[in-house]
Formats: sequence, C-alpha cells, structure tokens
Amino acid sequence: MVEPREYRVSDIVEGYEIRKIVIFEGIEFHEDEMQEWTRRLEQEYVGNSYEERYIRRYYLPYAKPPLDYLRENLGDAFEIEENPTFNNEVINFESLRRVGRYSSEEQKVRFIVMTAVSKRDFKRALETEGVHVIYFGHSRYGRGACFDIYGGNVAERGEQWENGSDDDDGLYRLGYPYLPVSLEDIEKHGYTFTPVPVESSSPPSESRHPHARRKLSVVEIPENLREKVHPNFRSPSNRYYGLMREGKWHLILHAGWRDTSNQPFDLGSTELKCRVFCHFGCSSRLHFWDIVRKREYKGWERPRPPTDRYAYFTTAPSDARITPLWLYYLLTYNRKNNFKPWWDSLQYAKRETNKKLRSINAGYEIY
Amino acid sequence: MNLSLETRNGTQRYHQENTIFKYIHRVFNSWLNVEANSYLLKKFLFCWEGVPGKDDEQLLNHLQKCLRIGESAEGKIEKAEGGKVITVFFKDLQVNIILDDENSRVVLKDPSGNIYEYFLVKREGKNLVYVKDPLFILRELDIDDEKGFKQVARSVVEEAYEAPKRMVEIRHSEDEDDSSKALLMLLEIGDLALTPLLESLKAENSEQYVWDMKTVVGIQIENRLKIANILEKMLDDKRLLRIPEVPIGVEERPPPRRVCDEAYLMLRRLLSFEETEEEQFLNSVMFLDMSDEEKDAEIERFKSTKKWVALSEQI
Repeated sequence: MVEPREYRVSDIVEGYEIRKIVIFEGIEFHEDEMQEWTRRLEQEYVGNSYEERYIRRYYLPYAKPPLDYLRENLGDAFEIEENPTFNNEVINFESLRRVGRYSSEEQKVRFIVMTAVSKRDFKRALETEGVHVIYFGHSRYGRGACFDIYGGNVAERGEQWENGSDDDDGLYRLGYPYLPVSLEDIEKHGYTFTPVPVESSSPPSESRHPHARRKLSVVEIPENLREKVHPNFRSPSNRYYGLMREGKWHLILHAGWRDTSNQPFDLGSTELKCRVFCHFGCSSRLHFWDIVRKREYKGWERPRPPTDRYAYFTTAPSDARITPLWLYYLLTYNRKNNFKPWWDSLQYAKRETNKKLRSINAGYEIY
Repeated sequence: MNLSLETRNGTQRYHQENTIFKYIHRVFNSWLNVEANSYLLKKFLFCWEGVPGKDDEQLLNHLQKCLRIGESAEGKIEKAEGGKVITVFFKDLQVNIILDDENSRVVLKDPSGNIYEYFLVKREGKNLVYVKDPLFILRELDIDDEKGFKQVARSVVEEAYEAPKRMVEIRHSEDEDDSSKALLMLLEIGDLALTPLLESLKAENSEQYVWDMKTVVGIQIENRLKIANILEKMLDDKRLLRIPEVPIGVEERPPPRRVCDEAYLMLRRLLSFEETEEEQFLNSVMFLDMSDEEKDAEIERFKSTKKWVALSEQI
C-alpha cells in the first residue's frame, strides 16, 4: 500500500492543472460490497455456459471498485490513500472514503479522484465549482440517485430505498414527475410510497416518464402494501393508477425533480456548479437527460463552444463496468490540455469507453 | 533495388521497383515496435537459416500462442529434407513448416490438416519468414493490448486504402488518359473508393469536385439499399437473442429482443430521416417496451405501409 502524501509543489510549479473528480457510490455500490460481489461471482461462475463464460471474460475484469481498477491498470502511478487526510487537493466531504492521485505527464493534468457515499455530500459536490461528479449506483427506475451510509452490506428493506431517513440516505431526486415502479420493488424494499389514487385525476401524460405514457389501468394493491402508502396519498378503495410492463404490475408514483418530497435533495433545489455530471446508473439517458438538459426542466445546457456543463448518461440498463472504464480512458488521454476546456479529453473518454463496451457486448453505452 | 522518395504536387509518394520494398522496409521495423506512422500488417517472425538456432525462441513462442499449445509446453525443433522442412515436436503435437521456394511462401501444417501461409522474403541469401494470416496476428495480440490493436487496425486500414488512394491521386492528376482510367477504376471498386475520395476532394476544380461527390453519394445510396434489403429480410426472423445478464448489482433488466426487433430499430435508424435523434431514441424506447404481439403488429404495419410513425401516439 502506498503511503499517503501531500501533493507535490512541483506539480503546480510545472504548470499542471488539478482536476477533482468525485465518485459517489450509491446504495449497493460501495467498494467493499463490490469486492464481495466479485469474490462471489468468481466462485460461482466457473462453468462453461454462455452466461458463465461471459461473466468471467467480459464482466469480472472490469467490474471493480473504480480506484482499484485504476490502480491495477495504471500501476504505481495511481496512488491510493485509504484513510485520506484533508488538504487543499481534497474536498472536505464528511462521507469521503478514499482518494486516488494520478499525474498525467502527457495531459499536464493532475487528477484527484475521491470516493464518497452520502446524499448530502452528493448535493454539495454538484454545487461545487469546477468539479467532475460521477454517480455510480442505481437509478431506482428513474427516480434519481440513491444513497446510504453503512459498513458491510446494505439492508434490503427500509426507507433508504426511497425518501430516506435523514440527509445522508435515500433518494436525491431528478426524475419525471410521475413514473412507474413495480409492486415487486415496493414489496422487496418495504419503503413508504406515494402512489396516485384513482379518486384523484389521472397524471397528465406529458408529466409521466416515457414508460408510463400509455393508457393507465386501475390497480388494487395487495393488503401487505396498504400500510406502506404515505397517508397523504391513500385511496379509500385501495385502488391506484398503474400499468402492466414486462409482465409485472407497476404503480404510478409521485417522483419529480423540483418541489419534491425530498427537498432540498432534488435537482430543483440545487444550483449546479460542477463542470461535469455523469449519471452512470441504469438507462439514465431515458430517465434524466430531458430533466437535466431541457429548458422546460432544469435547462443545464452546455455552452457553445463546449467549455462547461458537460453531462454524460447511459443509453440502457448499465452495470459496474462503466465507471472504471470511463476513468481509465479519461486519465490515459494522451494530449496536453491543461487549463484548456475539458471537452476533448471527455469526448475521447466517451468514444473509447463506448468502443470497449461495444467490444464486450455490454448492451449499453455512454450518451 | 531502387528506392526514392519524391515530392509531387505536395504529396510525398514512395516509388518502388517491386513489391519487395515493403518487406525490406518491414525487416527494419518489426511489427511489435512499429512507429506511430508506419504501416506494417505483416510481422517478421524468423529467419529460416536461424532455425534451429538463434530464432528458435521466436518460432516456439509464435506456435505456442497461435496454435494454442500453451506457454509452458516445450518444443524441439528439427530440420529435414535438405533443410526444406522444419518439424517442431511438442509433447502431444507435431507441426511441419515447409519452405516453398517456388511460390515465395512458407506453409505450416497442423495435425488437424489446417494449412496456414507465411510470406517469404529473400534477402542477402537469407529466407525471412513473415506472419501473414490475420488469425495469427490476432492470436499474438493480448485482448487488453489496446495499443497493439490500434496499430494493427491502422495497418489494415492503410493497406486496404493504399491502392484506392493512389487511384484518387491519379484521377486528380492532369494527365487526361491516366485520369479517365483511374475514374473507371474508382467506379469499379465502389465502396473502397468512398473514404479516399472524401479525404482528397479538390474544391478548386468544380467539375471534379461535383463528380467526386456524386460518386460518393452514389456509393452511399447503394450501400444503404443493400443494408435495407438485408434488414427487411431480418424483419421476419423471430429468434430470441441471447442477452448476457449481469446477475448482481443491477436493478433494470435489458428488455428481451428478437432478431426482428433489432432489425426494425436498425431500419428506423437507417431510413427515418425525418426523425430527430431524440425522437428516434424515444421511439426505440417505446418499441422495446412493447409486448412481442405489439412489436409484431408494428413491424407488419411498417412492412405494409413503409412509413414510420411516432410510437408514443400509437400506444
């Protein structure tokens, strides 16, 4: 293990630009959990079936905690500080876990890669000027980004899967006002939920997530879920708007990106000052691109020429391979670009990551 | 051998007396330490006269990788039949490599009867053997050797375009006789002419400029039609695709897809010009969210009308 050290004064003297990247590990995506997944998969996927061969060959080599992957592929040049001490290179996040450092001689850029886990710190990072923020976790079927602070494994049931119990866990919302969530997810995680009772008017189609823009049905929810309906949204008849998708009943839930039940932990209450925002959860292009980019929503548009407000999403259900690859290609871009717009290096990372994802038949890409 | 580097019309061109030029050039640049701008698809492997002897290791490493014998397997090398056949003995396997002087080639026969060819170049009385088969070039590459892949890819592209690029150059020359022959040739090679034409457009000559672009557009349309024909056939193929599922840490599952579903989406990307990128994305999401029956109905509707509709409105 490399000893922690202070930044080199020479890095600045030599004209290196310091770029800070913060990876937010969402619920179920903490580093120690990922290491455990890997161990389990290595033990279980030893056979010769198509799926087993695929996992061994195209999944396990890349699905690693991002800092570990970078260390493995960049060698000693990527230094990891396990118990980071704060200095002017590191942002003082309460939930900071690890810090990696890498100086690219070709780019003349020094990268400080931090990992953190709380909802409060996520909002703070988005509001921090000039930072590259990566969300690495579940999209919660279009609700946003979801967090929890824990050691070991996450509890499968609880409010941390929806609105959360405090400022550190639960959802940071950035979704459409209404979206479909399967009864299966609600039952599995046992959180309080906010469906739309049939006694009220049907949610307007244009406010619904694209997966819910079809004719809605009436769903009577099973008895075991009734007490988990938020008191303000209860239907006297226990019937709610919903639809059948992928062979499962879904309920339309209140979600949203501003004036949400999670305020101030939503996009509407956040002044986005970061330079890059990557949401690498499942299908984030579909779930969040409109909300982040379009003028009728948050309107966080990239200026022309592209010097700021870079945003990247995923085109389909994604997994743990994307963030390690994205960072690897970003750090290994080989052109000098210190104190210049980050566009070229980001586009390079996008292009190369997508090539890699295509070559390993990942089924999704960066948008 | 008469090698010279000439500059004509601002373009540097290598002239060569015969094709051996390439191989001599390559002798000095083994494929593994290729310079960024050179192109060397074939890799120098060993000198025939150096085996058995100083080139044994190179040959054994190559065979271990390319015939998948395993790196730990030891091999013994013998030469027979007047030095024309090299036999390599591994524990359970015997490989013959035959020098075919007459055809300037070397041939490897494996125990299954597969035959692989190598280039042979004679220089100063020595027989130099080069890897030629793309299969072996790939097998020598490590899957994570991105630099190696890029280098080989560059070589493939440069070699593939070498002649078409020269044809375009000649087409743009002032010699009318040469130019019209090159023009005919460019029309014949079709697809291969597209990139070299695009990269060498001469806007100052309006007639040539328009002719070149007409040719490019013609090739592109021909390609599009070919692709569309195949995709239309695929619309009838209901086989389910195997989509590898990651068993852990994933909430959303990719929707099941059949060959016909993918064909529908590809056709839409290829032909639906009136849709913006955003509309196309949304329509593909809507399509994949349909049941198989709904998707089949949409495919049938498209086949009979040849028109695209916004699927959000359909639903």
